[in-house]
Amino acid sequence: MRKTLLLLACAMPLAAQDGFDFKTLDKLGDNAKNKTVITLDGDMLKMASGFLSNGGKSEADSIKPLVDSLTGVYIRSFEFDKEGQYNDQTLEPLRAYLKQASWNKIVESREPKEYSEIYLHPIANGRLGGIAVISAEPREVTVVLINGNLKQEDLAKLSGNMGIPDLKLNKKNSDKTPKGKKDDEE
Amino acid sequence: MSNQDQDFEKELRMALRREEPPADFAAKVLARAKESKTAEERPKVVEMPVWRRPLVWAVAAGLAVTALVPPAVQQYQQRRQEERAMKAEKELLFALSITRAKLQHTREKIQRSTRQPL
Repeated sequence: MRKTLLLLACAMPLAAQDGFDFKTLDKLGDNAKNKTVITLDGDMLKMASGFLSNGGKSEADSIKPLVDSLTGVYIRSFEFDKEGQYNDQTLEPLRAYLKQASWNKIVESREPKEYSEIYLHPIANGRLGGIAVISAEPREVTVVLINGNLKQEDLAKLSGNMGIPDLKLNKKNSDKTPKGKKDDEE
Repeated sequence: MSNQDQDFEKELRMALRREEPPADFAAKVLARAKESKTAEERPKVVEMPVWRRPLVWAVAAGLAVTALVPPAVQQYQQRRQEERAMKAEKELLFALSITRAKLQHTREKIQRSTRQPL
């Protein structure tokens, strides 16, 4: 009994490290004009995957193998009316988590008023445990965290083909997030 | 007393003489009495038609509930599950779109800064 309790006590911090608490990023959106908050855990992804396979013929169904390898998809994206309406320091807990959990920062692009960071989480056999993107612009900040058991080629799927609809999110002077459609909060 | 009176008295005695009942008389009387008692009680039992008895209605209602409710609940749960799956699918595709956009945006920025395709 005592051994079991000891094992549980040891396992609890590991379990806590397993995921990042996205509530720490909520402050980012305090002044946001548009918020996109998406949390899809394993069960929700299974349901979505099942639905993809049920349809079977749509273009999006081609990403079913990719979706099947995912265990969590978390998006926090906030748009602001004016510059300087979010505190970049709010992202520090996420960076600390990624560093602690042995994610590798593979890309860092910095320009005067914006930056992007891409992290990968290497696991055994050349596979990836996830990908994370932090994109900060003067009036928009986006955090993407995708967990799973990904192959290298899955990155190509994620970055722009195989049925993922192109919403032209990064085109200037065009509609960004479809307003009213996806401004949901948890 | 005249002969006529004597005949009359004789006939009267004959008519009123004690006569023993047959051996199965008591049994017959009891059987008849039981039969008439049962016949009297029977209308009380069938007084209410079967279809009007509360117990029958209760059993029928129970059977109907048992037959109808589980499929309805199952259908409702299935519909909710499908709605949740559709919502999850939409959110997933939107999330992957955002991911794609941000990865492409980063790639474009790097291409701009390095002037070389990745």
